[in-house]
Amino acid sequence: MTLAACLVALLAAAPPVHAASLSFAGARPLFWGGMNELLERFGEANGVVVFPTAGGCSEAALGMRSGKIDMGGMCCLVDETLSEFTVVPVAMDAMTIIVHPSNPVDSVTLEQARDIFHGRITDWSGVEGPVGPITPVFRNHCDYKNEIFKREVVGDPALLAPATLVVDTIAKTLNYVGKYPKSVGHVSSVFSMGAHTVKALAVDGVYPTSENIASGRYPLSRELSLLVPKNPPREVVMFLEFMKSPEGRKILEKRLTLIPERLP
Amino acid sequence: MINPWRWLNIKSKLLALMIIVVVIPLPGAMLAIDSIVSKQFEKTGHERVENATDTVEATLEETTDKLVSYVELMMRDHALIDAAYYAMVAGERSMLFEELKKTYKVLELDNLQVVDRSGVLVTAGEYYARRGSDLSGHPIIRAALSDRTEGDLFYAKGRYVLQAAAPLRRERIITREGPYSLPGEDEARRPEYDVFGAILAGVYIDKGFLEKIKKMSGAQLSVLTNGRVTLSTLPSLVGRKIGGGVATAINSSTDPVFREEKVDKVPLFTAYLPLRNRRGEAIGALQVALDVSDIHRSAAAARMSMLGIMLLSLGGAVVLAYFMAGGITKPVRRLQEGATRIGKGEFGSHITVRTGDELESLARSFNSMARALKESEAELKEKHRQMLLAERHASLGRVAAHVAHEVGNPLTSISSFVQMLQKRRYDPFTEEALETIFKHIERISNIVAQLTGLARPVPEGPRKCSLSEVVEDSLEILRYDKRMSNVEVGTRDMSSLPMAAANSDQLQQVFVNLILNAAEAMPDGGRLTICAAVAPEDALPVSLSGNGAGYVRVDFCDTGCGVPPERVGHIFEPFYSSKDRGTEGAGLGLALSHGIVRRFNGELTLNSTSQGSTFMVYLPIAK
Repeated sequence: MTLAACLVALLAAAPPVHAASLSFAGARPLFWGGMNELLERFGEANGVVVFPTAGGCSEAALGMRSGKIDMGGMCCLVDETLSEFTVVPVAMDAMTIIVHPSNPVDSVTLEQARDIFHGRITDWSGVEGPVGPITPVFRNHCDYKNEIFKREVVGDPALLAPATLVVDTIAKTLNYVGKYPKSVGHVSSVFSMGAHTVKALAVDGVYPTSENIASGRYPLSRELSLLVPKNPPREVVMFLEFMKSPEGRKILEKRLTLIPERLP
Repeated sequence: MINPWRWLNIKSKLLALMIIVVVIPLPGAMLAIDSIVSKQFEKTGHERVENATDTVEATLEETTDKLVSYVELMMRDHALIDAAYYAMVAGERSMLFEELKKTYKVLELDNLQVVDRSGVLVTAGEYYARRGSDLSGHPIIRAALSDRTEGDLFYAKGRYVLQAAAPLRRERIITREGPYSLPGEDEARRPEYDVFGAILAGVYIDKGFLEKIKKMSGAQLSVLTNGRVTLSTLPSLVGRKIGGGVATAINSSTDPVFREEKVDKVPLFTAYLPLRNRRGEAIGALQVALDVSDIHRSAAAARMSMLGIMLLSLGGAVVLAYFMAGGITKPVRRLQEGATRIGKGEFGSHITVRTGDELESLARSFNSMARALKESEAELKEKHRQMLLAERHASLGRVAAHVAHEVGNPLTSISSFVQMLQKRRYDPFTEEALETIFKHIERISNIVAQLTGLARPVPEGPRKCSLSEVVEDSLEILRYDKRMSNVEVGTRDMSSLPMAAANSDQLQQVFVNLILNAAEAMPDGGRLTICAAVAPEDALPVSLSGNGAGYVRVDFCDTGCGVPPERVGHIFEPFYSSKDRGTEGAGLGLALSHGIVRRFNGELTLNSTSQGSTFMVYLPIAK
């Protein structure tokens, strides 16, 4: 009885033990491209509680600034506004232009893509397709200056074709394009690769394959990166080590394209 | 003039009165009840038709609200939005048609149409419409294209339709300045939309719709256009013109107009409900008609029930009145019978009435009267008897005085001569004969003396007289009388008694007579008890009662054979005797005694049974 009482007193007096944790929020291509699975595996292997959240570059930046997350996932170019953080390149993907699988058009030039989304080309016959009006589907996300599709294709969103259907999610883009044959949209290669409901077009004659993305031949290729604190906590360091490990690379390779020579 | 009222007896009159009292208010009550029943059923009919009207109004309103809800849901249905957008941009309507058709069926609509930004029909769920119908003039489509959802009632192409329309929106592209901000963090980045078309859903007010409301409300429904029935759940009403100023009343009233009508001999409670659009314009009317045959039947049944109950009540009242009248008249009849018996001289008749009312009091009074009459009769008889007796005494007295005078004088002479002859000596026969003659002369002398006493008035007025002394003297006189040899005499103490107003000698004669009378009534011996007391007022004989004087009563009770009842009334008459007149007295003793006592303003009475007799001497108390 006395022993039990002493044990209870000792436990009550002992300082609280906080479990190690790691939180992530950020770009969906990075999240679904492998970061989610990577974090799960890392957590299981190291006894770290992980909190992965899909979002956008904005969520990543804001989360890091507020200190609510340990790592932020970015799909856009990281400019000087985020210089307070260390940018860790993770992998590459590409913004693919997708159409309905029944659409006979397989390729457009970057210029044609711009014309389609600006309303200069409104019929598929303009890109050597069947006669029929084009229904552009545009997902408005991230900052227009740094997001590659806006930067390279749309430019100023005010210039978008009047017939453009603006959507707010990747799923809506995929659903719409996958359902309506005369539509055209844009999603990350993470989502278009291997999809049966949509077809990714070649741009300037280059298909968005891993090789073309890795080599940069595909014009809408981009880097996906992590924002981490300048003095990262132990779990972040451990995670980055895990990411660079063969197991981590294997997970990322499934849907993303690695750039080994640029990894830190 | 004939008065039939006189032909009826009291019972019939009472019965008639009660029936009249019940019957006279009957027509009034019937009319009142009929009025109440009619009003109640009219109220019920109105309530039912009002309820039905409320149901119809609520259904119309709910249907409009439901349509608004439907289009608001549809404007958020991404599949439908995408299909509509695609149909408008790509010109391919088949997918939109499929979406609309599916929704149209699920929601059981009559209209489901999509228009583009300019209000031109894209396609419809109910049919694969050709693109091109311009619906931009439709008020709720105009509202929907202005980004407002509205529902309303319309009349078009000969029918009424409830419709609602909602805008079809797409997200507007916005320019996001500045790096890495979350949507919605500032006003400029709030999602904005463009209306790219509209969706319209409608339900016809057709027969199916009316039948649905009929199931809910239980009322027949008809649609009126320009005062004529154009559609109805009652086919016989279609085409009928509704007059009677109903159309005017509907247009001028915001509330339903109620009427009571008959169609094909069927009674209907109807309400005319204006069909108004959102601007309040009456564009038609609905007739809500309720078949109130059942109410009429119920009213008739209620009236019949009421009538039956009233007739039953009337019958019951008649029966009750009959018995009540009998109850009232029965005691009256008894009183009548009692009066008849009294009229016949049966004063002993008694009437029993237990009604607790005035009749019972009357019967009591009647019985009291009968008793009083009976007592009066008895008193009258007694007075009459006494008067006869007194008259007889007086006449006898006069005869006795005459006889005594005429017989007494010669008899005195004869007696004197017989006594003188007896003083001489004769042969035994002559001596015996003289003895016998003398004995009979003595006897005649006694009789004459008694007759003299009977006729003789009281020699002097009554004086104070001690009863105990008179009793003692009387007994002393008879002490050695052989007639008293077998009689045991008992007396009670009389010393405390008041003095009687009487003459002692004459009273002694009375007492001796009564004692000897008792002794003679007990030839084989017996007991004579003499007692006296002050007589209570209520125990006085009729002849003495009520004069205010006090009396003392002396009783002579023997244990003899008593006097037969038939002789009691004659016992004080002169010469009346139950004894052998040849050997015993002349029947004058009691008559003499009675006369003496009455002369003292007293009374001598007899109470006799088979166990003995009691002579009661009432004497006034000396003052």
